[in-house]
Amino acid sequence: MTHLLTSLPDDILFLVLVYLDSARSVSALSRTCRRLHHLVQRDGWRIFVRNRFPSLSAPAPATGHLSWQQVAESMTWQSRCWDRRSLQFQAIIPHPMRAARSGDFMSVIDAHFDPASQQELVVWGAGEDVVARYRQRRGPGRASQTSWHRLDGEDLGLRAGYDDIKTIKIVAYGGGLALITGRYNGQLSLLSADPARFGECIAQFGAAANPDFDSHRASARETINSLDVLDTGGSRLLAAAAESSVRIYELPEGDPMDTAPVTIYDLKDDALTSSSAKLGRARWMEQGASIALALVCSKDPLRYLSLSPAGWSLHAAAKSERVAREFNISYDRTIAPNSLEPVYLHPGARRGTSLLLSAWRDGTIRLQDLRTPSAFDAVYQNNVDPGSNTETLMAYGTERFVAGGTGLAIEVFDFRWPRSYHHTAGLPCYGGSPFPKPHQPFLKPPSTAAQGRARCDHVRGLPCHWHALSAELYHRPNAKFFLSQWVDFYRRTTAVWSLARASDVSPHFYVGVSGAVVEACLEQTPDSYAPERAVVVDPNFGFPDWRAPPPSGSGYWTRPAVPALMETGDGYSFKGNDRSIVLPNLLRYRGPREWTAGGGRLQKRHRLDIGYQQETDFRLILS
Amino acid sequence: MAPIQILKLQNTFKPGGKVFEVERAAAEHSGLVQMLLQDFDDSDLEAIIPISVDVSDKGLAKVFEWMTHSKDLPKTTDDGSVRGPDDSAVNWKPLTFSDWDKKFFDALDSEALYEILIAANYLDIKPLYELGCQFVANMIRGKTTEQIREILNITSDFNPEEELRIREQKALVKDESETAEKN
Repeated sequence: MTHLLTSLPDDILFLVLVYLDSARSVSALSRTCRRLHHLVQRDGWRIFVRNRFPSLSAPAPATGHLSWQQVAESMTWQSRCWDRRSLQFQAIIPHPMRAARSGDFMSVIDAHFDPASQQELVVWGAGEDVVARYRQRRGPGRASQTSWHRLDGEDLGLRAGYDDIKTIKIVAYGGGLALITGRYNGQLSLLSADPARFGECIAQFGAAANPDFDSHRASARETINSLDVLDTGGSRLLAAAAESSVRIYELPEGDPMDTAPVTIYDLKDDALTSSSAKLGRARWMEQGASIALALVCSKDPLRYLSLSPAGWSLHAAAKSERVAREFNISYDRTIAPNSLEPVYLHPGARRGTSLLLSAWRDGTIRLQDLRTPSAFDAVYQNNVDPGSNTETLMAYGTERFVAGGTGLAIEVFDFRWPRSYHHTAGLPCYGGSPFPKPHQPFLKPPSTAAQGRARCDHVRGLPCHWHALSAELYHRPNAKFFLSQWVDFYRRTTAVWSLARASDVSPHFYVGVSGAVVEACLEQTPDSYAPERAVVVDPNFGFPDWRAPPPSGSGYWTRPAVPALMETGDGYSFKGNDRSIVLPNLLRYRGPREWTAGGGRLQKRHRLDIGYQQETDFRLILS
Repeated sequence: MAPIQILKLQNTFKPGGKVFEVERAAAEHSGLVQMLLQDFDDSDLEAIIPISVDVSDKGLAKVFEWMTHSKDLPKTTDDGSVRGPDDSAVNWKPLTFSDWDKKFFDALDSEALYEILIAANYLDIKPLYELGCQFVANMIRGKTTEQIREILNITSDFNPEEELRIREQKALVKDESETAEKN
């Protein structure tokens, strides 16, 4: 008999789908005939998502209302927004009266999204207060349903400064959500996040195994510097970093009751020998087999606790001679204690990882395997301003990470690992180079064998000039977004203290700055002018009305923070990094303009969002 | 007695299949053959090893040609390659075709290509199976629906209503196809 593609068994076609690198190809294949259409709808989009975005946790559509095709649509859309720097910001600022009372608090944030109800919860510690915003998507064209909630610290007799929230975490509790808060005064509480009883205390976490001793111990008043929750599917474990010890609690279920730690690891004796030494942060690693620790004023600032049958034991993080030599770093430096961020290679059940990102006060951001030096280990740094300090980090699988620190700015770093998806693969072939020319202080332009080739010949493995170069790191430099316009208005110095997002596929994330919160959203500048009807946010996970002002009574108002973009280079740290270079242009976001309307052919190829495009970028290409 | 170096394989799917003589080192690319070699004594191997797969002798000959040429390449074992369509995923990179592989696949008509995929799947020859699937994917990459139908000889069996509905769904994958269409 004669075989046809359509008569091949499913598992062969599945493997063909694994190798399709753009949603456009998968979609084109699915429209050829019934069998392939059915196959792609049933399995193809899932295969595409898993293979193109292998490190990101995508929600299984079975639990929500979305199909795998929609998940694929969102993930490719978001990837393109990240690559083209289509990111917009809005500051959420306390009313002046309230701001005067609480002062310049360092806002700490957490976010959660429930795919089934399409509801997002964002919470932040605003001084001694806790503020929450619920926001529910209600389908295309309908306004989101939003409600604001506040726990007023003053009502509880809490003082600004002394009793501020230091760390906050959202957890599932009793079919709904709850918050865990840690304060400067050492209070560690489980609070209701239920809109009807927001802020009600469900349980207190004690400092000692025997509560009778609590009041006598100085450690009971130790600031809680960080919280991290490990969800193993069964019990959930909370790791709290007090100043001199790591405390592990089991999260209570059902009946509220005060909870004592199941384990206390005291660091006083073996790690915190100097009186000023403190534990800054503790993060679960390796699915609970270890906890990464950031120590302040300690000789080995990055350490980890490792669990064995004999209990927890303390180790210094692995040091790699290769990394020290290759990137010219010293391990004898100070760590930014808030910065610890695990990097996951796989989603889902295999989420355990021993890879950790951390920022250091020498301006470096280090990726390392805690236990042993690994091939993944690398050191990143801003190439333009190598001394700029990073305070907090947020990683999206192995795709990218976001860094925030001094100044009101965030920087998006590429991990510099091979990526499975480039949005450019879905665009037609072209014989020219990607444009405009990127700013790369140190990286050399790639040589390409595809010199001037106008069309890809995939069968012969020959990509066109543009596809070949677009995937190269050289043409995808890191980018720093400056939001200082808003600060000028606000007249205060500021820094980024925390970063939070609901999930790997959430197009919104939150930046905790001094005295305010900034919401960031992947948003594409439309190619129409003026752009009333264009879809500019993620169609499946985004909130189109994310700029809506908070209701009166929320105590907050909003103000757009217009970004200015600087392309900073490849982001690797190296010896010559401190030498002077030509400062790259600062591109102010200008939004759609008359000349950008209509979406010219070349406009789609421009490396950056339409809002950053300049007419001169095209003149050089067309001449 | 020296171990058997030439294996005899015959496709019994249809009567009258040709008996192929394949070097042992080449045949070991096949997970199925590896399994048989573990289970049988050498004395059993002197007999003809029956396989049963819906592929012509012409197609099988191509498979054995690839195996014989690639006999010195490292063999994959069950715990080797992990690139699968299930939920497990690895960092993806396109496979590289050697010059010989390129010529080999280029010379195939689509009938032979599909037969190789079926046979490689059945015989569990991971590298050939993956190369073959990548080769088919490469024919699809960057093509429109009409081009794919033409290249892969697919006849549309949608009725007009379905055709219309699918055209509407196309707008869903908005990031790429919408852009592609405009150009």
